[in-house]
Amino acid sequence: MENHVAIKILRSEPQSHFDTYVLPFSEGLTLLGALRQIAAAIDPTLAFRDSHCGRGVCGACLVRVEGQVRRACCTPLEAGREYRVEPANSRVIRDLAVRF
Amino acid sequence: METERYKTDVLIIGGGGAGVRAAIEAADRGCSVLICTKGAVARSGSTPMAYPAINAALDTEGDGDSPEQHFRDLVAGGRGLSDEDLAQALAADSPARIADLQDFGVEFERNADGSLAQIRHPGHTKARTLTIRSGGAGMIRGLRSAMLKRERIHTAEDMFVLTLLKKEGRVIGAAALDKRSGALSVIHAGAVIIASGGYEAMWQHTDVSPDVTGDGLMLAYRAGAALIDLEMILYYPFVGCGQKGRGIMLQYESLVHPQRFGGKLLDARGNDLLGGMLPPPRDEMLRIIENAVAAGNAGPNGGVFLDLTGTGLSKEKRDALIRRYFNFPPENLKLQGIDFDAGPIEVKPGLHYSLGGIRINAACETTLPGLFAAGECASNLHGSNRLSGNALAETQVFGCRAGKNAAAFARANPPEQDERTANAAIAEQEALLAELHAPCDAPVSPAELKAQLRAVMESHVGAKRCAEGLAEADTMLGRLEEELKDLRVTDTHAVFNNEVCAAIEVRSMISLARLIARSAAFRRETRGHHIRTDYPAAAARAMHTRVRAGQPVDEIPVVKIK
Repeated sequence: MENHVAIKILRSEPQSHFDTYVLPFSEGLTLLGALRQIAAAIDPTLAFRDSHCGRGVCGACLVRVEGQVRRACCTPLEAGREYRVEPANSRVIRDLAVRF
Repeated sequence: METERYKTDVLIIGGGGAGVRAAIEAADRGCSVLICTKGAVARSGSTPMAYPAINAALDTEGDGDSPEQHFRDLVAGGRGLSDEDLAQALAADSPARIADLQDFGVEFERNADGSLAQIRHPGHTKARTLTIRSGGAGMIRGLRSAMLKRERIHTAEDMFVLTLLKKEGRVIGAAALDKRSGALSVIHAGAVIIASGGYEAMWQHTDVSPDVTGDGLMLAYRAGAALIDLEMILYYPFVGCGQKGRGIMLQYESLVHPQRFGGKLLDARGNDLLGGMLPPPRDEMLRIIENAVAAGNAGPNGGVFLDLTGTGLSKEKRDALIRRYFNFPPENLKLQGIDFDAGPIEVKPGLHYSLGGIRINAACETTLPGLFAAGECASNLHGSNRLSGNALAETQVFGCRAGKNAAAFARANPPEQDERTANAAIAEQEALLAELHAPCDAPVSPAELKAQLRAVMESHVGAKRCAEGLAEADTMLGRLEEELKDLRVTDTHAVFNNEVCAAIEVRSMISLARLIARSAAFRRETRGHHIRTDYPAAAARAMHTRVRAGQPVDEIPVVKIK
């Protein structure tokens, strides 16, 4: 795990459950970067908003990390840790994609 | 699944600065409006991420600015390729559009006496750039609240428009995929405005959101509208390219300005590339960096270095400058991994703006009746090089004009429910979607195809091009086009299926990429951001390249007004 991070995501289909994805850690990896890697390389069924400014101003990447609402693009990850990620609000469309 | 049906006077595709401004205008002229956006309004596309610069010849600094001078600077900056009817519209209308933004609650930096502060940006001869508080995000928030106050405007977010409906040569609506339900939708409209932004996400090194995939251009092209100057893409000189801060735009106009941050631009040998000169327009800055790279003085990631360590600025002063000139606070920069105190930051030019697009006139009419376009997807206002601050001004000036003229068109041509056209379009789109789930021996995913496409564009259709590389790109893109028959998705959910949307995008992106490569091959000259290594000089007379469905690339004259 030392050179990896684990992202534990609340999924909505077919019923509410967590899926955990383990990724290699690289310097400068943010939670948004990790979500994009998961969708592109591990699990394309992960639903989240893949449009974003990437610098913390638009709010499209809002998610709940360890219970706190945060911008995924401004959430740098640390090697060896696991992060619990849930949708930002209760208006869930699917997985991490919500209505604002 | 049941097809959803909508009827509206004006349909607007895109929920950024131009689309929302168009909606406000059309609604205020008595029309019902439906805005369809691929993402969420104010949280997708390019407007929220724009830096805070917007131009208008207000002359608040008393240096004698005028719309005539704004026009002259824009045309000079465009290096001969700006349509002068569009440039004149931008220069003439911007002051009134700034007043509108203030009415919508958008705030600007002010001088001590309360007047709107204006600064001089590269390529402008006068101080005409206003600073929007909170940047593009601040602007779109104001526009969005003005939109929400108007009952005639309806929004359909997460609604991906797939094709335009056409009858007897006129555009009469669209068919879309409602991402929230997975159902196909038909929208009957009196007039349609495309305000869907650019196509920068077709390259690897860009500071723009990955949803900026040029869909709107291909909707117009497939319906029969002309696109022009597709090869003209604008590079922003400083986009982070190291492990940390990759894809983050750093505002060179202020960072290497001796009176603002006072930073230096160094090559890998430590040579000072600007030597204290004022930052030049983007195409000149691009050349300075490209020359340093060509001389073998690039850093490990092919870039050069922005160095703020020797400026002598206190952290407080520097943070105040970041708050003023950037569109995000200093702490966000740190969270992206950019620390100016830790040493030089490697940057290289990245895709920032699409100069080419759907051909429009000053009324925002495309070459198809019933179809209008505004903002970045339209062309060609900026020519072959856009001056800083003219993009957000473009969204407001042309958004307003498109809304006004589409409203007039819709009043004369009310929406009609043409079921035959709608049903044919739905049947065609159903078949295209079904194909993505059909059995296949050697399936290829949208993510793989997008990655391959971006690699081709980055290596052969970048800032420097040549006939050989462009021919190679065309061959490789042809191969990708063949692979589309094996394009498959694994996600079978109806609701919010990103993979299906990526598949729709990549089909369109590959077609657009071929048009871009062919337009770049057709333009045998170097001008603005289009650098042909095999044709290093500019042609005597600038011409637009043009593409239309079923026709080879050709050229048409630039519009002059005098």
